[in-house]
Amino acid sequence: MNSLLDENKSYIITVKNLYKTVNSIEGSLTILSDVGFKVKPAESIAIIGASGSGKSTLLSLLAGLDRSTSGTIEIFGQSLNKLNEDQRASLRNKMIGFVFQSFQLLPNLNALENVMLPLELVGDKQAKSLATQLLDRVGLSHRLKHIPNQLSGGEQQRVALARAFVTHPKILFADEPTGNLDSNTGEHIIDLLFELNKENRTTLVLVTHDQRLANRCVRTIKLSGGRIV
Amino acid sequence: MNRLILAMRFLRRDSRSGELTLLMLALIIAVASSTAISLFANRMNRTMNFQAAEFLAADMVVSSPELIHTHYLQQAKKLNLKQSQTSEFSSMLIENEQFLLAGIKVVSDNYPLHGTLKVRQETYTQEQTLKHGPKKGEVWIESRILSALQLKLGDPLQIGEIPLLVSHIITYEPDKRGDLYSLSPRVMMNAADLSATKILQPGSHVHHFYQFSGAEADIVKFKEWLKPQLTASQRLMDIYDDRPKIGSALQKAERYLGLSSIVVVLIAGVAIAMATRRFSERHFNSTAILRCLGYKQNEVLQLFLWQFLFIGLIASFIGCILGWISQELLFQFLRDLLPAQVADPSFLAVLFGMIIGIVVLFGFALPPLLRLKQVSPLRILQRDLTPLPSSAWLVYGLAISLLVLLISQYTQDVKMTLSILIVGMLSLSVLGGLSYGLLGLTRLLLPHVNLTWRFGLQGLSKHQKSNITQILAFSMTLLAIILSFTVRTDLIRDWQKQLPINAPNHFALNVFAEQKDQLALDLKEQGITIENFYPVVRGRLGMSTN
Ligand SMILES: Nc1ncnc2c1ncn2[C@@H]1O[C@H](COP(=O)(O)OP(=O)(O)OP(=O)(O)O)[C@@H](O)[C@H]1O
Ligand SMILES: [Mg+2]
Repeated sequence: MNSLLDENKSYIITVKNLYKTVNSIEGSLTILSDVGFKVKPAESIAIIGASGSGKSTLLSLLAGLDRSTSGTIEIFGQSLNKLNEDQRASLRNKMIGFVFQSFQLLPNLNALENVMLPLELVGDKQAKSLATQLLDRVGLSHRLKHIPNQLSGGEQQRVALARAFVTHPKILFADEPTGNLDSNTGEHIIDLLFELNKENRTTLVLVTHDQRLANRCVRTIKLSGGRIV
Repeated sequence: MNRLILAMRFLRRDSRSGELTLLMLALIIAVASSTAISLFANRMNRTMNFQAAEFLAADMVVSSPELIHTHYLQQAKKLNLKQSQTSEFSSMLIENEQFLLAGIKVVSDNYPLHGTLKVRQETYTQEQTLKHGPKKGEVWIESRILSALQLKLGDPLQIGEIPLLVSHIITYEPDKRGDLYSLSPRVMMNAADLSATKILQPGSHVHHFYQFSGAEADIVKFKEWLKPQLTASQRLMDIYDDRPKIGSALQKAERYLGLSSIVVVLIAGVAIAMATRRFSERHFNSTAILRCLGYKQNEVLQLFLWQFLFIGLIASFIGCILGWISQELLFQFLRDLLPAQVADPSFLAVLFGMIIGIVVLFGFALPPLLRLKQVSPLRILQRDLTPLPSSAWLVYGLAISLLVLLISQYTQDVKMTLSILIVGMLSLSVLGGLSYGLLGLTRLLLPHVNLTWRFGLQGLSKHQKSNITQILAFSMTLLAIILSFTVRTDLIRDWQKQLPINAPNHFALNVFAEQKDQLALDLKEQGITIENFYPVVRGRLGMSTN
């Protein structure tokens, strides 16, 4: 009994019998069926699969952005189904970082302010210095006051990385982080991602089409038609 | 604190966006117009109150043919009311073998409680304004007594048993009553001299006046306490119930201006609602990101509410200043029609503008802002995930309650408020039904028209709900403008009907029969025509019981 508990504790993410069904005009549509896997702390996992196979949907469930139809997701032993909207928000703030393909910086705020956002939410007094440090770490110390419009795609993605890591999250979810970048810039972002992963012992869960990115992960989960294959 | 800084940061970046500029402009105009009207009304009311207070020389007066119980006065003292007393009676004066019936007024030291007396020290010197009556040993008299009794200033005047020094010529007393009885020339003396004159004997015909002033609440309390105890011959007057009513023309004008400002508020409200809708939609993405980063629903909402509160305060402040200026201009413009002394507005009337601003802003902006709370963090992955539109109940409920509040505030009339509302709602539903029908008709037409038309009409019927809302908003605005024009035309016609052309506006009293022709001649020389002379006779009416 005890060993079973310990066993569960050694995983940071546990997914069991996960289903996601949505109602569309053509009737009910099953996007994910019977998905289950476990992730250890500091592990890096790539979720790959054809377009429409359900990768983004799986990610949104793992991050608590959406609710599953059935099955359980436990993060740090906490079942996401049992948390309400606000509790999941608070979990995201404390434990989880995000990087997306695009549209993720607030167009109203400059680079520094964007990175400070998650810290300001919890009233961190050192928000500014921590954010400056991380922007320096991703090589953008000369772009602090630029708003997203004034930054290149690669620079924007680096700001997003800085913002994702500034709270020292336990897990980082990324959906096609290199999808909008040319291969050189993409390579650079991937390097940064794994460096930060090592430095912070952050668990990485990446959705990607990019084989180079998938290759650098410890493990690969392949989806096809909503099932793990 | 952090949230506030963040809100200000958002606002700074957003400040150049068109919708916030439009929103501020709309709010400024709404606040300016309603502040101007409410300040105007408030100042007019206060002016009327001050005038009434001056007219009574107090906030409240009790008149009585005999002295009143001293415990009445003690009760007034308990309520911290200031008091003064006057007594009026007629007495025959005899000096230099001349006789004159004078109206004697005996005043206490703190008379008058409101208003001032005007006196002259010599016949032709400048008038002096004083806040007290004659001192002990002195009398103030009207100048016609000087000539009638062949007296000059500084002479003694025998009042009953004692001589009093004629020290001033009195030219104005605030509470002079207009009845024939008080038309006899005035002699004013101090109450301290009264008993020595020995004029007043039991059975003398005297009017006693007891003046009181103080906070409105205390006056009202005293009045309620006193009223049931008064005898049939005692009368009570106060500035709140017995003041001269503000001219009905002015009152109508006030209402008309008030209703027009509601029209302005309504138009501004529609603009605010639409601008906020755009604003919200533009912030769906930012909100989704914030929710992703762990901001709770209420935290996101607060972020935007702070911004709107800030905008609301600034716009209302500017609106208040503009309202103040326009109200000043209005008074300048109407200067000839109004009393020379116009009261300052009360502090509350200034505050009213700020309150109106915030209430109007949130009344119309809250429903679209509340949608931001519903933005799902999932939108970050599914861009077409938009929150449901705010419920119609909330949108129209808020707007209508706000209008009810404003209309009833301006009209002070339940019936009028209700009829305006019912007519408004009826026209809204008729218009809504019409638009709905028309949009349905266009769908039937679709197969029979060419491609360009089809695109246009499809667009119309696709966003049916929001299209109907917009049609309604514009129609209501037009309707309100038309209504306001109609009311204005009616108002002017009413004014013109109130008095016949060439109605007399000056009157001369106490003209003796032998002076009549001379007066008519004198006035004619000045180019003034006399409508008519009417004889005035004092008489006593009795009622026979058999
Ligand atoms: N709310 C929804 N309603 C209807 N269908 C949906 C909904 N959400 C997702 N889908 C469908 O579910 C399938 C999986 O979508 P998902 O975005 O997870 O795919 P993906 O693997 O991320 O694809 P891509 O590589 O193109 O990003 C798609 O066919 C998508 O159209
Ligand atoms: Mg995807």
